Amino acid sequence: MPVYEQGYEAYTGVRKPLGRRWLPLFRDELLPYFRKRRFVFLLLLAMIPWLYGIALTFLHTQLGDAQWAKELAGQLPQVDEALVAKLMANGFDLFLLLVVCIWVGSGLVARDRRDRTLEVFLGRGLGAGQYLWAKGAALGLFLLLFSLLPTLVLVVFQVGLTGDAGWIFVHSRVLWGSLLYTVVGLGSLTVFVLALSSLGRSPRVVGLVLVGIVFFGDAACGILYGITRNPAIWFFSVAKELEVLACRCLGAPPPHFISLPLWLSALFFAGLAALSAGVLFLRFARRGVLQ
Amino acid sequence: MGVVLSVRDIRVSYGSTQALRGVTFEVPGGAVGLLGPNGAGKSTLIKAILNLVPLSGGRITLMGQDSGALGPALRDRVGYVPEHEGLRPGMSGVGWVALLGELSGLPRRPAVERAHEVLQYVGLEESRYRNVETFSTGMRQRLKLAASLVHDPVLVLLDEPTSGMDPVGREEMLELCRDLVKQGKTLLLSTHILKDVEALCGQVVILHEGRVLAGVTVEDWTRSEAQHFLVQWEGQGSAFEEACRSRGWTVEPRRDGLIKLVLPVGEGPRSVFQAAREAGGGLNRFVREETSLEELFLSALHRNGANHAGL
Repeated sequence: MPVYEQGYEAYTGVRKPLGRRWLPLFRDELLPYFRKRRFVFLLLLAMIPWLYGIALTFLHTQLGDAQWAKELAGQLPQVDEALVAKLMANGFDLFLLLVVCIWVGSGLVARDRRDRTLEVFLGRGLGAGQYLWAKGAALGLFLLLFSLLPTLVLVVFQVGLTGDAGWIFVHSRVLWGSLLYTVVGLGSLTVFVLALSSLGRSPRVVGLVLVGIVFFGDAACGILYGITRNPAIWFFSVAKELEVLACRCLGAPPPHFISLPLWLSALFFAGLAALSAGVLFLRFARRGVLQ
Repeated sequence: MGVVLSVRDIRVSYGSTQALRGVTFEVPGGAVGLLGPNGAGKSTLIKAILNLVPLSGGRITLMGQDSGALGPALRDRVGYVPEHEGLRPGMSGVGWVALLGELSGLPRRPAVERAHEVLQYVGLEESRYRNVETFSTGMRQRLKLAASLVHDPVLVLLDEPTSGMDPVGREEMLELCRDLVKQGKTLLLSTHILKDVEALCGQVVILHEGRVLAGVTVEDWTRSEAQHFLVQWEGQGSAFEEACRSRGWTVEPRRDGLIKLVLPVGEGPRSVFQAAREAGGGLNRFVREETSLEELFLSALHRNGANHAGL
């Protein structure tokens, strides 16, 4: 007696265009993290500095015209490019950003390699480019929560509370600088993490390697800087490079001890992105990632 | 019906090792067995069809559409049951099948509906909400079959689909495969379990060391191969055995008094009776022994000087 109770039926419905096949994989990568309380807690923690920015906006606009209020407002920092740079690249947020990057990123490709689901995905009508786009978009979206999204919220509050849309034009660099930082810095970081994840079969090992590169690399640079006092040492620190990039993009001066030349920072991110993209291309085009 | 899958002179190399060396065959429809010892290149061939390993030469055509290896649009017409796990822990059976349906182009709601249908078809309706890591080996194999069918492919590539299954589960899996063939699906079954091929396939492609040793229908092959008979000689002595040996036949006397004869192509029962008459006696018993696919398979390997230790 056959095991099936219902005969096979052909599918006669519509099919989505090839270009939109990445969306289910993107959703599958994204949603499980929002069900993890510890992960959501981390994201909320990262919002704390931005709440400070919103509070500043509130104080500047709502304290009134009393003399004491004006004096207090005068002592508070203005909401401008320098403040956004500080909010975006403060040590606390950068730490959380890198933790999220490692948490989400280490398993992006490595988990599919471990479970042997990568060839199941690529054996479908899904190209390698769409697969990588889905994975990269998931990580990129989380990283946006540390840069562009809070900036936009801050801008909305600023304009809403002051009733002055002209602020956007005066401080337009807040928007395009944040966008540039996101595309260059966090984009490079995403591609780097994807490439590293494609080299391993164990998310845990990839995570440990990332921790080594990001945090131990930073600590090693700190020790070397302590000995040599040469700011060029920070060239090898991902966290400090991101901090410098955020300041440069927003036109704020970076801290003096990590004041790398612009061309050196640009070289770092261009090199990181190019190297990572090259690794991904070789791994996927030659199908080495499936071995 | 035209040719569903055509593989022409495909070559695959892993570094300096040539895994496939000019493999050519056609799949006209129905179920086709892909046989070969371990390391023959069966899984590589399936992966090459799916573009999961780069081709260093050759051409693959599906339903008349030409491609070096199948591109994304053509892969929508192919289902794949991988040899290994290939499942996402933490996902329910229906969630996993629906996700793969979406990746093959089905919109969200139809993908979920279709996932329920195919899971019921393979007999997993009771377990569809359980996480895949809690499934038994047999259930996982069926789940992989369901996932390969969710987008209604024309061709299903099955890589060792009964691996690790108990006899009942294996028979049920083969029953499902037979039903799929009846529904008009084309199956390419890669296995080293010859009985599965015998039970299901009308055509066999034998691979060894990256080459096709033989690729014919089972019936044609059986006809063209040597014939095996079990006979009982009524007379005394070895006159009959000597008469058979003088004709170049293989003679194997057995302990139960029967003699096994292996006749070359072109010889038949008439020749056996003639040999018995010449030896001065008759035959008490005459049984034609069916040549199993295993014997045919080993014979093909021996003819090509192949080492079948990997079987």
